[in-house]
Amino acid sequence: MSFLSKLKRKGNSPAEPRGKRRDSEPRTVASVCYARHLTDPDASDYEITKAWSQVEKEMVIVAEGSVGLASLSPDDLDQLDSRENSQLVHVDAFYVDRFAVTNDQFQVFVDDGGYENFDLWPESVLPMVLNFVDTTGCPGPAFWANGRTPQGRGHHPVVGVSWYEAYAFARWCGKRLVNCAEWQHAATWADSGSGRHRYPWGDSFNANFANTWEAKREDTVPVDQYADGATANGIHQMVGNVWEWTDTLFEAQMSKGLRIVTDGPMAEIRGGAYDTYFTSQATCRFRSAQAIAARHPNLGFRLCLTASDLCQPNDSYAFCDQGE
Amino acid sequence: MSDQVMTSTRFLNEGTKFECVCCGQVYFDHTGHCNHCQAPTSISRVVAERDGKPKFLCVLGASGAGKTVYLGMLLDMLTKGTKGLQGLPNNSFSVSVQQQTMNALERRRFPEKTATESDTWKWIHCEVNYRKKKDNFFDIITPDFAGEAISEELENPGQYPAVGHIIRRSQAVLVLVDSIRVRDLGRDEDFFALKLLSYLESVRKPTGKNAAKRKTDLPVAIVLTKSDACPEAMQDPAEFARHNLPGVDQYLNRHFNDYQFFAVSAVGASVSLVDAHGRTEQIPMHIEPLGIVEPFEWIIKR
Repeated sequence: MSFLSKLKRKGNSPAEPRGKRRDSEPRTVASVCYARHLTDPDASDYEITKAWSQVEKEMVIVAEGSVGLASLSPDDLDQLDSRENSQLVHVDAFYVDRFAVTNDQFQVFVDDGGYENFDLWPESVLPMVLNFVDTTGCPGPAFWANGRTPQGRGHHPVVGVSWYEAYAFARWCGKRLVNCAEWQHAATWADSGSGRHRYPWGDSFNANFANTWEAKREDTVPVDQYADGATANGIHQMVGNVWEWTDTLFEAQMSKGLRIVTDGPMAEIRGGAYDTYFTSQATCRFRSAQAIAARHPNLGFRLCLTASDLCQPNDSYAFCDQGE
Repeated sequence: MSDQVMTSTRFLNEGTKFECVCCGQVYFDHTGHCNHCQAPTSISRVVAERDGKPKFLCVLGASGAGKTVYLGMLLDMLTKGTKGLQGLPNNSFSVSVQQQTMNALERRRFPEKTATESDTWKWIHCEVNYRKKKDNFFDIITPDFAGEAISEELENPGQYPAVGHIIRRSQAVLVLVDSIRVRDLGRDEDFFALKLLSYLESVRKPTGKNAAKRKTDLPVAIVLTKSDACPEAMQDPAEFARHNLPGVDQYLNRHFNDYQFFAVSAVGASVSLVDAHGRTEQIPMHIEPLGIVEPFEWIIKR
């Protein structure tokens, strides 16, 4: 038996890392935008059933519950672990992507004319959309060239996208950005008890479980690596690899005459990235922010669906009836 | 017993004789530092006990350019090991700079401003091993200078002798320049850096044959700091300098043989905290060092 086949038997082949998601078929609009059918009242039972099968494959349900958000008051910004001053927020049940949105998925959006479809963008930012170009001036994420995914990085999280681009992509595919409470709830919900761990796997940092500065990779990795650091219900890379945009604007509160001023609108980002230096800043509770027009190489996003908004098929056998 | 007491009293009165690692003055140690340039005796002692000459590295810049953050961050990254470099802080001052900077940044604050008084400066001594080869090591020895002191020394040379002595002994110099101030606040940064370079040249002027025609050999890294908020500098530091630091660019070209521009940042995003009196303090929201080690790596390769 060759060395390579021995590795394959253990699931540790360089070509097939452990826990890697295999896509047998190339990404198409239908395979990325399946969620559209789940909120479309005119969708057929077949479409809805098929969409549900995609949801089960690519998303995870997070049950409703409460989550304690760290205070962003000027007095508390310097707290390393702000459990005491946290604010309890209720979260409804939702489905969240197992993986951050990849370059391959974003490529479908670009090819489908996402940057030219002005219905997807807030009207106030339309002039700005013209500036959302890649290194060669084509519409696309900041670090692409000629409107194409960099070679060999199809499974890496898409980066170099502003909050607006993330928002437009979400609208296009029928999902939405996760808000900050949902994000934290998803990262910590699966662990039992009221304490809620600092990391999806527990309270101690482990450099083998997340791609932060400690891992010394200095770059993103495919979205399905570091499978050991996934939440118990299978959400990958909630900590490390890339910061994730959330649907929550950064609004720090005033306190004792102190106020926080920003140069422009900022949105909350979560989870830390491959270059996050302090492990205390790559936890499930740490809240940071970034200018919403920023297109950084360490900033991506993941999407979700509100569970109560989703259509159910009237005929649960519709999928079988179509001969699938 | 009485002999021992007498011996220790004698040492206490006379102190121990040291040659200062920075200015070369021979002195009896009573206070823990050289009475001429304020370099700590502990560094002179470590260097004296070891074989080989120490290699100095000097970090200069205007007040607020980010020298303490840069040095603290560099020390911490070297201590953790990065890019084949492994650092070992050799005195408690070095650990203090590292500790204070890291503590502040982790708690979303910038470290306190360095005091102007030279006897309060923290001297950094870090032994750095390169590519894990036994003999391939060198020291970073530099005080965390106060920007105001550098400024004073430029105006009145000799006011802060440590500045001149360190430059004289340095194998390379890092000049830190705040990229945001360069971009937004006119030519002031350019003029300051220009004065600094002119001072460097006066201290390290070539000597001997054809000295007047020769350029200074001292490697100089111009480090554009805070470039997280100045993407133009991050994208192409040399091009940014050409357009925004024209004086520096031309002076380097004319008087220095070996120089390079770098862009660095320690912060991922920042906001401003404003108090009731309108005083503003920058708050680093999260820390993601970028380019910190590169200028240092460039210097090592020299």
